[in-house]
Amino acid sequence: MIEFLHANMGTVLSLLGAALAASLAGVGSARGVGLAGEAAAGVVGEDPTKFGKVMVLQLLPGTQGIYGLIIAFITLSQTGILGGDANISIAKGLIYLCACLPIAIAGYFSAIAQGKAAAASIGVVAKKPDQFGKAMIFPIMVETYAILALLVSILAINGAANVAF
Amino acid sequence: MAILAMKRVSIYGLKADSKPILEKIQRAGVVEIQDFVEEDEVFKKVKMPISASEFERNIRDAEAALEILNSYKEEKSGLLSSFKGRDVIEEKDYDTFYKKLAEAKKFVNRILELSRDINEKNGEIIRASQQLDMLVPWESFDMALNSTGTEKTAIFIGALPGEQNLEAIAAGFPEDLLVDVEIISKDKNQTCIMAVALKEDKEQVSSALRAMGFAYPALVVPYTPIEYKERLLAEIERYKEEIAKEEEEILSYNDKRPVIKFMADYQSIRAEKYEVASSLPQSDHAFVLSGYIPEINIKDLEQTLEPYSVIIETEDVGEKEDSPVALKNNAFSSSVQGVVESYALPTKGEIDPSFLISLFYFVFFGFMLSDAAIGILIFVGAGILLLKNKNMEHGLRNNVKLFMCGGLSAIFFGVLFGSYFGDFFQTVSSFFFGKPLVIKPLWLDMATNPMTALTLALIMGIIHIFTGLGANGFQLLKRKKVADFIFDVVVWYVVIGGLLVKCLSMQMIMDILAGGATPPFSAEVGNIGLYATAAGAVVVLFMGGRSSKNWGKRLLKGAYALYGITGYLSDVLSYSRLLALGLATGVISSVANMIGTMFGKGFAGIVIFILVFLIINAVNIGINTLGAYVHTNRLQYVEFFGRFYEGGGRPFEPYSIKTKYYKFKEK
Repeated sequence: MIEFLHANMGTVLSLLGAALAASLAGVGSARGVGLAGEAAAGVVGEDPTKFGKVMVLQLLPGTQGIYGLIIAFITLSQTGILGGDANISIAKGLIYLCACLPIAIAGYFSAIAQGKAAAASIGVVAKKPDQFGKAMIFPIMVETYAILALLVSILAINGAANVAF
Repeated sequence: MAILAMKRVSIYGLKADSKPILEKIQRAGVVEIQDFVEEDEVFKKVKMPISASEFERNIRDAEAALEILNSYKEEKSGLLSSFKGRDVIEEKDYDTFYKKLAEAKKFVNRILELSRDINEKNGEIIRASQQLDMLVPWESFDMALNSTGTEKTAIFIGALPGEQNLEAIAAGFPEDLLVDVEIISKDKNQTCIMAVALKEDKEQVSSALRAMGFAYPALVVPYTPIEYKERLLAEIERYKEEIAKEEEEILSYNDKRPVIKFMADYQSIRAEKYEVASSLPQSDHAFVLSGYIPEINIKDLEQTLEPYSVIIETEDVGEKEDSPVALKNNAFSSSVQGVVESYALPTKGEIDPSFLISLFYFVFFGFMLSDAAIGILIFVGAGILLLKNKNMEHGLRNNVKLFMCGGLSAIFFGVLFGSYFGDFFQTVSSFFFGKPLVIKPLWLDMATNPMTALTLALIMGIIHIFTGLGANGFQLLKRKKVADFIFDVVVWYVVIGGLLVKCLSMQMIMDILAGGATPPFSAEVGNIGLYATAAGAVVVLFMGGRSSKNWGKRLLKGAYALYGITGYLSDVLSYSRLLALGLATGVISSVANMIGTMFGKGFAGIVIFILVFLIINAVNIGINTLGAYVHTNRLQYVEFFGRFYEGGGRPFEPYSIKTKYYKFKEK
């Protein structure tokens, strides 16, 4: 048992990281997009011609899920879980797990916050469709922090590949 | 490339010519009407005899008629029809169309009349079907429903509440009364009966029945139920036939849509003309129209109005006047004009940022997409849209142009970073043909070398922000605010520039950002940079709050201004999104390639590969193009505009031809 754990724990840890990145960021995006979708459906019910604009706003909180997917994918392929033989030391596995955390955590919370901002912006478009350009900026402000987290995750995973353990 | 210079214009003309003159000005569409001329003894505003409400009613009728036509036969519209734009009509077509106007009105009225009639008949059909329902319990009855009796007898036809049998009903009558009751039908709600009695007992029977809750049927008609049912069915049939005929007639007007649309347009042109006409001050023989006109259009307007006896006066716009703003840019920069307009138009003293934005916009857009194959798709797609839809509306055309240029830039960055649907060629060739075909990136692979790409992104950010700062300096100099120029712009260049020099002299920074290259500046030069920054910071501390007289307050404000340095730092870091989004496109495509190759090389494997490839890449293109668009906008709005641009100008809204269906050919 101990031996098995010793041999595979690193792989398990990296897989846990990838799973967290994809699932937490994905759940956050689902909640954010859902929140904005409720507002969007209300607007389209009143005025179907606004569909294009509100749909763009609804999509904005969806990117965190994609960032999570990217990190999960890079982790899976770098550790060899995808298309290779996975042989990761426990320490390296922990490094990968930690590298996945920024996008998992920041992705989850920022997507929900962005969803709220997007719902409010959809309200702006409902009242003043010509202010679409400005309304779009508010949710994008939130996304910055998801992007920073994505960046840190990418850099950390890339660094992990060069760490010798 | 700039904001159009506005002039005030006053046009004096003879009342006799007012109609054609107003029409010409409307066609030219270059004057925004503003009342500069005050009403006085001589010039007064006069109400026009025809009210605008008549035009509006006509427009409404035409729209309603089109709506009705649509409800019977949808107008054919393809997936891409929203790009098509309005049809163009030329001036001579306009005149012949005009003659058909009375005819159009006739069609419109006829369509509305038919539609009203159909509605009424549908109402009748519903009424008849309701009566049919009411007849159901009486169907086995074979006398006229309004029978009241014969010479000697009285007949009561009606319903008692609840389900009852003969004994129960008989018990309800006084014992010595001669009554014959027949149950026609019953259910749990009612029992339909016919009661026959002698005429002299009529009152007694009637009150006994009332006590039992007897109610006469809703249908008291001189027919037996079967007869009446047949009549109703025939009636419904007749209505249906008539409706079908009328619908056919409505459909026969389907090819009259163009005239009806023209009618709506024509009426809205006239509505605006009459609105303007009734707002003009007039004397007994002359009128005056005043407003704003872009300076470049004055010559044209003078030429257009040459045939009439008019006087056109122009004067400069006052310094503090709230004159409207119109932008004009070259073909390239006008593609981002919509981006500027959706933020805010420039105010007085500000520059039109369209040109500056267009320099950076596509670089950022391409960097964020950075996939050559997706770039080609977007470039070709947008190009085909532009070529196929010559009449595309102006604003939409600019936006499509924006994506076309963005696609072109994405091709460039895609080649630079070696991404063609991610690693499509490499994966496909090595998996299906066993020989990896690697297209080497022209510069570097973003995924394996993210730090270098990040450095490039940050350098772009610094250039962008410095350009914004420079634009602010340009605006301040134009307004002759030299002190502001020095203390708010030049000093900041020194502070940030010095800091950059210091950073570039540090080995640690080079290790992080440039893969351990030797710093371009020696430690001494770096220190000079640091001193420059320190000196600049001291200047900001003392001069940042120079508007306050009180020195304590002034220093506090200066300290706050100095705190703005964190703003520069976070703004520069914000450009890291260039790398993150750029990576995202390629990685998602690579995911598609990898998943696609998991199902083997057989026929099914290839089919799955193609499906996975198409679906994931379609989503990828959608999401990442949207992402590149909104994040490029954000970098312009927040990081770039934050340095120099506020906006808030009033858009120029000329008196012009505003139509919904047809566009008048521009000269």
